[in-house]
Amino acid sequence: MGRVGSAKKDLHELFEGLEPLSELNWNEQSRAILRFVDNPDRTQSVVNAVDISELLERHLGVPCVQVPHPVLELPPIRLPPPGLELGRASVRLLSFARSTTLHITLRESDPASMNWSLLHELGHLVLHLRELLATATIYHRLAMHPALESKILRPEIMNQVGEWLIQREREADMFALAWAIPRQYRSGGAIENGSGAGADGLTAQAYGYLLLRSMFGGSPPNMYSETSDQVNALVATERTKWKHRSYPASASLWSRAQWSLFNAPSGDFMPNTDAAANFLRIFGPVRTLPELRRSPGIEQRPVDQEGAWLARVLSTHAARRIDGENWGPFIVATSSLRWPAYYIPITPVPDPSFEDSRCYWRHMGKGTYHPTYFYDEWCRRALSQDVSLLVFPRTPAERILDRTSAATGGSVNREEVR
Amino acid sequence: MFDQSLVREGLIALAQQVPCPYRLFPHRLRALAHVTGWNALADVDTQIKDHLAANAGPGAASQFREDLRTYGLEEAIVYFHSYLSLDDHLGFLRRAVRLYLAIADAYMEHDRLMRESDDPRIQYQLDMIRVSGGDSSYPVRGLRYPPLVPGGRTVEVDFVGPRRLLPHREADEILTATFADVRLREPAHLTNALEDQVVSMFMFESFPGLQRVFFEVAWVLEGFQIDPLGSDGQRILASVVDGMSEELFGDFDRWMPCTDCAQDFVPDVSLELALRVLRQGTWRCDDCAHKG
Repeated sequence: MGRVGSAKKDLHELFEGLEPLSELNWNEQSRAILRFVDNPDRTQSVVNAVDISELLERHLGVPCVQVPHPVLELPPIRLPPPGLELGRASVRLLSFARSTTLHITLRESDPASMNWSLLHELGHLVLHLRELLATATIYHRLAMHPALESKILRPEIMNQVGEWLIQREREADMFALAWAIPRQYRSGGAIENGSGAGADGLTAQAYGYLLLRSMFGGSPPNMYSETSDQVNALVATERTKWKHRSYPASASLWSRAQWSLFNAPSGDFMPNTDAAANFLRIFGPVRTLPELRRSPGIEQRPVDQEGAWLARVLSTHAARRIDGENWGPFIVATSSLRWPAYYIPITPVPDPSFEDSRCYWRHMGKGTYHPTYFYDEWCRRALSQDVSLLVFPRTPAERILDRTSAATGGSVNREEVR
Repeated sequence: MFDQSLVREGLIALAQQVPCPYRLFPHRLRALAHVTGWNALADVDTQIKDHLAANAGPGAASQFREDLRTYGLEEAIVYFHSYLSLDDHLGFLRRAVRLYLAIADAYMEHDRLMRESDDPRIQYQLDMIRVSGGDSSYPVRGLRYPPLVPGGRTVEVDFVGPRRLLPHREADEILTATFADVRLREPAHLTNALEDQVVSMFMFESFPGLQRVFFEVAWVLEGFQIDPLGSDGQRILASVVDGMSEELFGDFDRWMPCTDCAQDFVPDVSLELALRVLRQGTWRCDDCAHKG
């Protein structure tokens, strides 16, 4: 059996070979992490969120932020409630054409939940970054073509996407499991490496079950109170209960972890690339903007109220709204019943202030050297152009990041990666 | 039969009747359409590309399309000298140049409006050009890319074919001979090469003045996909600031009018100032800047 010290050493070796994560190196970096996760020689894992998040920030350039609030996904591609709302792998849109930064947001919770949630969100970054970016691209397109909003959530599209949403969560949980439970303990059968666990009479999966249980607050595997026969029998019962059940997307983390253990593939952990390809086929590859090639025209159709999924806020309320808890963008609505020619997409310039109303706001489609204005000035500009604002206020996590960055003396406009 | 090299010079001279420092890529023509309602790209297709396909063969139409994407409309038309005979296509060449002049004129008339527009349909078109790095998207024509770049290649992403529009054959030979040894040296890191290039440009070519210098540096960096406000960008800005402090770029008047209070002030040239000016997009005196 490997010692915890060697697990930490393996983990540090993995991260020291990685670079700050970006769109350009994502493929290579994610493969390196998956190779680590599936390494058959690994016998122990580091699952502590504090240790892992420190390495994520230092080597991958992905900070982890804790917030006291439920954490919501960026619409429209999110599971309907009730979700657990424990975390999110975030792409921060500083501008549309190039600049994205990545971070993980976790809801403050008990250590076991946070450990699993962090691994789950890391799984999203490793497996689903392209889909996250493709979701962000939707807003890019909406700014140029507001009427697109009513077309995105058509039933025939959402039927196809719904399957993908469940699978996305399942894959992220599988990643978390694969990280936490070394490969040899995920499947049934005897333990092959002659470790102490095998000598106790435990099956490999039973040992894996104990590892998982200890991760969620149970006793460590070398201190369990039951006999090995009792554990084996318990695991056999649980396996019968969970094997072949459909993935419990809305259940507790412990339920999802158990499901993942008893439905883990016996071989390499392999995400379903067909589903990802289908998602990108529906929503378009990352940063593909067919609107750039459209002939100019003005949509004069009335707004399809049923197809509108973006939150709309009256301009009189928007000023208060931007300082509230926002996890996604909204439109500052006008009284017009027709789609405007375009939206002006704006977001706060990163600033240590906690209030977006005190920040300068920038146009997300312009370079960084273009003028920035306070929010009221952008409202005035939109009104004079007879269009609406597409407002991207900072999430609670992004406010914390900006304040932390300023406090540690880093550049508030952190290095943008692509 | 006309000497085709004369045709080339003639087309260049004709095109420059309307001074247009921008390469009129299809992205620019689409941006122009959002402002004027004139679908100039459609006119280019019907009057030039379709005509070439019908009268000079599909190869000519394809070549024109690639040249348009790579070099912009003016150079795509000038390149006709290499595959269209003046004898056979004189009328067409006249119409093509006339169309270019009309588009260039319309573009320059609406240039500032487009650059300052909030319309994302316009901004994203212009941004695509900046991201691809294939345009002098600022009114300082003739900026040379650094001769030393990683891999010895040029920076344009969508480089199609080996074609290059040479300023003049003799000049090109001189330039090639002058820089031949440069290309044999070990390629330098892009940021280092850009740092040298920007400082050298200000020292030996022209200095745009305090009011514009930071924006011009930002334009150059954006063309190479370097964030002016990131660490590499700040390093290059700091080099420029150092050069200004050491008076390497010549004497110049440092009095600036504040855009808010209209009072003249002498800014303390520093990296912090450069970043503030770029973030705010304007020059403000210290009092107005800190009012927020």
